[in-house]
Amino acid sequence: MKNLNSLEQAWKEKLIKDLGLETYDSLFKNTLEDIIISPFYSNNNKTKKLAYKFLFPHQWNILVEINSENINVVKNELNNYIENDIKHIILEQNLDVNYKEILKKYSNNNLKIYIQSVNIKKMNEYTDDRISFIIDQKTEIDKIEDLKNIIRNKFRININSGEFKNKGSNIIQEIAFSLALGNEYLQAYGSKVSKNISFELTQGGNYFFEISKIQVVRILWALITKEYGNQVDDCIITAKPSLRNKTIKNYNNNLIRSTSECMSGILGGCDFIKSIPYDALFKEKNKFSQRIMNNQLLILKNETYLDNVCNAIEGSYYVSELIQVIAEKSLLLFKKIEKKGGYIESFNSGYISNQIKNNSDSEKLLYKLNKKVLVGFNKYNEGLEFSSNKELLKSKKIIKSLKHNIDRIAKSELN
Amino acid sequence: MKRRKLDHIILDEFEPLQKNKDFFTGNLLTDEGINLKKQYKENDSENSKHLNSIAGKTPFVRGPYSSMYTNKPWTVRQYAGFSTAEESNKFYKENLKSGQKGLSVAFDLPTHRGYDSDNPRVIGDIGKAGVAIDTVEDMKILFNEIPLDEISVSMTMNGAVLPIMAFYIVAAEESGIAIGKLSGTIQNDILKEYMVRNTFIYPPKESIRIISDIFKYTSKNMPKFNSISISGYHMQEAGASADLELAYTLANGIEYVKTALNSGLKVDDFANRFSFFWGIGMNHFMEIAKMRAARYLWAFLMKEFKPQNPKSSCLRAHCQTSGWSLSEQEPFNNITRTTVEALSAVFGGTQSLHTNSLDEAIGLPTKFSSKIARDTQLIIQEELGVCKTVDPWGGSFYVENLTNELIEKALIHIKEIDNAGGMIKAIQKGIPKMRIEQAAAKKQAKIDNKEFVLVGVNKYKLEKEEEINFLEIDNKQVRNSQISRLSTLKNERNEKKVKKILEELYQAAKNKNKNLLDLSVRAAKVRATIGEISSALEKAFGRYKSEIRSFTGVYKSKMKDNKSYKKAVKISDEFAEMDGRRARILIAKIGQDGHDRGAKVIATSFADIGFDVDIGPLFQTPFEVAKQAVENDVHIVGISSLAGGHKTLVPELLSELEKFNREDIIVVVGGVIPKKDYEFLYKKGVAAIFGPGSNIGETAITILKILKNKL
Repeated sequence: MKNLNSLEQAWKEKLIKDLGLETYDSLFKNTLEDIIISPFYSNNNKTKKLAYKFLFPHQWNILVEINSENINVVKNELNNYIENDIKHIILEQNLDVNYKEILKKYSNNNLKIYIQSVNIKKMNEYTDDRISFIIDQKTEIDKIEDLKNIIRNKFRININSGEFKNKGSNIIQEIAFSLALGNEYLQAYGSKVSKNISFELTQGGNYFFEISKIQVVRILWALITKEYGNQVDDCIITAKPSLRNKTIKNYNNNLIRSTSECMSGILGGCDFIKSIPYDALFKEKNKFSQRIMNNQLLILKNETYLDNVCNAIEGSYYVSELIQVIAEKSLLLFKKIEKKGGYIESFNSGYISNQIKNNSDSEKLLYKLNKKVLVGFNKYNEGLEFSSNKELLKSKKIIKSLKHNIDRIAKSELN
Repeated sequence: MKRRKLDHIILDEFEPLQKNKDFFTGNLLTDEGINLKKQYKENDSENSKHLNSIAGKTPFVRGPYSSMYTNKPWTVRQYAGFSTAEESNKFYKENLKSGQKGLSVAFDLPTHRGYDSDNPRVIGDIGKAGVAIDTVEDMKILFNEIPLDEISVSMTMNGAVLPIMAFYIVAAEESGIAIGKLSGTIQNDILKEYMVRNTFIYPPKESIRIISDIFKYTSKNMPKFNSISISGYHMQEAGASADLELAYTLANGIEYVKTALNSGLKVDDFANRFSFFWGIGMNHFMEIAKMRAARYLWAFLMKEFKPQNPKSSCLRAHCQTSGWSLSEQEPFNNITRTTVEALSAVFGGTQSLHTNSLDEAIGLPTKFSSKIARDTQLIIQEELGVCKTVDPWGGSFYVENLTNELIEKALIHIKEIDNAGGMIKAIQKGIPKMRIEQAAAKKQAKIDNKEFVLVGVNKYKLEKEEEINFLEIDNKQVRNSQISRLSTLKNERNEKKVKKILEELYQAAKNKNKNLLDLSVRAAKVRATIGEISSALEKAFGRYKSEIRSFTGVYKSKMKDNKSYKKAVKISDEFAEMDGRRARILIAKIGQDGHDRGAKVIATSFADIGFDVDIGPLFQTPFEVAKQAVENDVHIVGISSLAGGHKTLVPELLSELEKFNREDIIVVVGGVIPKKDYEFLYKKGVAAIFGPGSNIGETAITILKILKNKL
């Protein structure tokens, strides 16, 4: 932004001619991540170190979860998924249900079953070598030692950013906290587990930021794992729509939101895409919304051609810029947490939750001021009320600081 | 435990393990004949002619305006029309209240074809698929209390464009609005009607004259009004791939430029009022690339006319998500589809957008479904942050490569049209129509083969579906109220004045000496009806009948190894053996609905299967279809119905056949028929009904089995 290339300069002149300097200045938008988005990008990729180094899996797959105490429900759902060509299925092992008998029956080689649990003991009961294992991040780190040999090379520890994002973190926080949490395992076990860490990221509405986020996690994780002697470029990343921006009123709109969120996951370069039913916020799991959710994923897989090219974002001026900026900021925050003694320390000291709360509060205020919109919630609906003057004052402060940043940029622009 | 220090990590030092990432091979041939790579690299976009351009300047690849959505987002413009002017008006007002900035009017088929509602030819079509407008009085109700000087109005009208424009102008004037302030768009793209959709009235040359008169009138009197919207949407709906849609739409555009020049206008006087209309299908990045390629091509093609104003070669577009891509099955799936498509339109840089409702594959939207459709756009505008920068996909190796590929492919098709002597000649030779129909047949084969998957339609089907409620139109009531309003109007108006102006209109059409829109406005003022104005012109111009051409072999070439196709061929041969002649089918459309993709695909694929196929002319009455069936001595009449006239028109066909004593001819129906009407049609004597997404092989087998059982 500070150094406009010749095309950007030409564009600036054209825009000022069309709409005036004041409008030009107003087009720079700041975000809660304190990233300023320029209204026009062109080929600056040569100056960006990351631009031609993005990492992509060969393809993405649909990932679904089954968790029911009723063995017949499990069977039905499993059969249903298999019929629909869904090949990656997680069985939630936090309940007292025994999947072993069911699994014996499936000899389909294309099928990938994952047992997911916090309970290492339960996992150790499995002897079927076709099964893979997903260890929930809530499992205490030292319990990993207890894994039986048969599982040792078939497990991954799933870092789920829903913990942060659904509570109101921004993207930089989501990335840095997830990486910091993953890094705790590296600190404890070193490079022998670097291949065993996977990330489940939570896709919010901010489309291109969410696309960029996936790449940033891949790149930063590669850099971090390299420090331990085993660089991992292809850690498994799953993307799943956020719950935070879903609404109960006009609940069908959640399907629109989750579609865009699955797309940002796909385009960013995820291995797996999960979705959520449109009524996840307010209804028990039910057949209809589950089916619509699966169809949503099947449509994205079969009808959109998003499956045929894996690196659509590569070269995009805007996305390249975003990846660079988001990576820089995320790395800074990651280092800050490390300086504080790592994720666990920072979590225990309340630093993590404070950070999230601050962001969440700012976000809520932006909603109240209609600076951030949820359709049918705070706009195209009755507006939200401020509960107190204090709240209103605080909101004005936030807006002011966002404005200040933009002014700063505009000034540097003019000099 | 001592922690490993990580403070020295430097972003710039990142190097991927795999230096040359060309381990991703594998490709796919798209409908456009483009080989997709699994991974795109910098050198895939290097040759693009447009990389060093900016939004707002020629060739406009990155956007027609410099600021694009960063200053103001695209216009949410939902195409809608309920049966009556009153209902539509109410709906528009609600939409305007909830954030919509422009209106888009859908007319019913009789209006499109220039018939009054009391015309016996159009009994089944009134109020279906849109609003019925007979006179300026209806138009005044349609726009009642809507500030036409503030709200832009888009009207999809091609055939009866003169009376409709005239009604709109007079309605505005009579509510005190100066016509110079009117803003909006009239579709007025007649050439594509001869390729697809078929809602023409007069022959091509005469239609072009009408357009020329409209150009002259609007450039003088309505400077803010777009006098034409050149449409690729209907081509895509009819089966055209992105390259064909691009090429034929732009070639049509060039034809209109020439028309305007021939009528004495200067290129800079009118070209900046041209707008385009794209269909947006499910191939996400292809559609983005298509819109970018279109802007490049238009700027390139317009050079020939040496415009001085850069705006004259700047392509602005309205988009609509594809209706064809939606399914009748599990309509909630359509929310996902429409979202993906709407995103394409936005990333492609559209100026306005219509998003389809989830029940669009069945009929007109309900209040419930149209809200979701509108919210789709509002969510994209307000929640996804995609308006914050111009052309966010610019630079993507994949998108830039596709843009370039489409430019080149489209130029080849444009050359073919040039070589045929221009678009009007090419239309007369049937070239574009044939290419589009061939593409449709190929697509159908891919679907029947499951090479292309439609979720819930040809794969992942639900065994039993619950019904959702669709809007049903009480067609009789609409008709009666239109007729009574017509007769009141005719009683109250000055008949002498009407006769005089209609005669003047007829003379002007014959002698080419006066502006037809000017006269139509005068006719509208004295309350001449749409039917009267249209017939006065028809007397001079004649009514156009399209020639029916068909081809064989395209479907077969893709289906040779398909099980149900082979079975259908076998049964068809057996039937021929038993009956002494091949099964003969008349494929017909009744009423004013001109969408003939389904009919044409059935015709060519059934011929490949071994049927003798007759294709009936468009716009027939039930009696005319029955007569043709009897004269050709067919075994089967296959009715293709898309516009909701089935409950009136099909029973009438059956009774006409009965009058000929040919109840033995079986009647089957295909197209958009709500499930709840199946029982009704079976009771009336329909032998089989095939909904959208029916496999053609299976359809043929079902029909042949019915025939064999009757022998």
